[in-house]
Amino acid sequence: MAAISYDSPAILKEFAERHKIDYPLLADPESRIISSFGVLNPDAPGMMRGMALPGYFYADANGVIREKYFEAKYTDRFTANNVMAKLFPELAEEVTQKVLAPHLGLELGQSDRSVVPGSRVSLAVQVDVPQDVHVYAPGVRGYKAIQLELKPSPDLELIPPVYPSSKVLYLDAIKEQVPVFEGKFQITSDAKISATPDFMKSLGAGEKNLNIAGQLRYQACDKTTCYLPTSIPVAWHLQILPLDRQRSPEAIQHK
Amino acid sequence: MFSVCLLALGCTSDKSSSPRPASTGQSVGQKMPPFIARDQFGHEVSSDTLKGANGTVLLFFRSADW
Repeated sequence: MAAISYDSPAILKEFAERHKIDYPLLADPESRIISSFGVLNPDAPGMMRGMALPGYFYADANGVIREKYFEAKYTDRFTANNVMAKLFPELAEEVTQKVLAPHLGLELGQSDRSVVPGSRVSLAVQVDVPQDVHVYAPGVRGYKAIQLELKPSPDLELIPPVYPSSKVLYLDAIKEQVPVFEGKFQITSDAKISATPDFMKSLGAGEKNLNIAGQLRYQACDKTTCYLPTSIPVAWHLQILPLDRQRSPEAIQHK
Repeated sequence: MFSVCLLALGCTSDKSSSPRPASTGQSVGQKMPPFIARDQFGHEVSSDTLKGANGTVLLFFRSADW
């Protein structure tokens, strides 16, 4: 991984030392790389001229771009942990917590514990359905499909949950084919933290704890019994930190 | 863990605050443009040297100065 900006090597060196960053920060003061990737901000005035639009590209081992993550507003951005968890789920080290739920194992995960305004984080519900048990998937008729519903908040924008592909199960007892989930699977939902002036003012110089609450609804069945639909409260906790407004030393600042 | 504290930067207001379409930049399926640049240690780094067995992740950010 590497990061690129229109800053000078001196600015990047000072910043890397201050924040203990050890992966490459690449200087593109003429904005040639920024322009070649098509992410030059054409509207940036004055000393911001040459600045990049913030976001990520992922290219495979042959150099072909396979994914990119950009938001419509420059104040909003995916966190690196969120991007890495999407690209390499096997490497993600999410913060997790176990939740008691009938008929299945449940664990909540999140890509980040602490973020700044404008961050887009990933929230996950990891479900472990025991052998010979299934839960109904979206699209089922006559049964309660599993559904993650998060409570709206003025401090964040919720992205609709993403469910994995289901399998079709033939239920001999009722001679029906139904979409279900079995075994281990994950439901994810991204949340964007507000970056409005009012929200940032509410942080001041300190931090704020943000609670994202919701319900996980589902109906579990085993070989002989379909249990009553269940609703389990779920919650994730984020620490919102103020933005770092410290500039580089004056001698090397953008003018 | 992939810590990227560099994103915790002050976003002082600028005139370029109009929303951008999500289809920013090079498209998926295109080859990544080749490049060479100097990193914070003064080392020359190229798109070829950055490539790993699992590919490359590039983060474009606004500025480390402000």
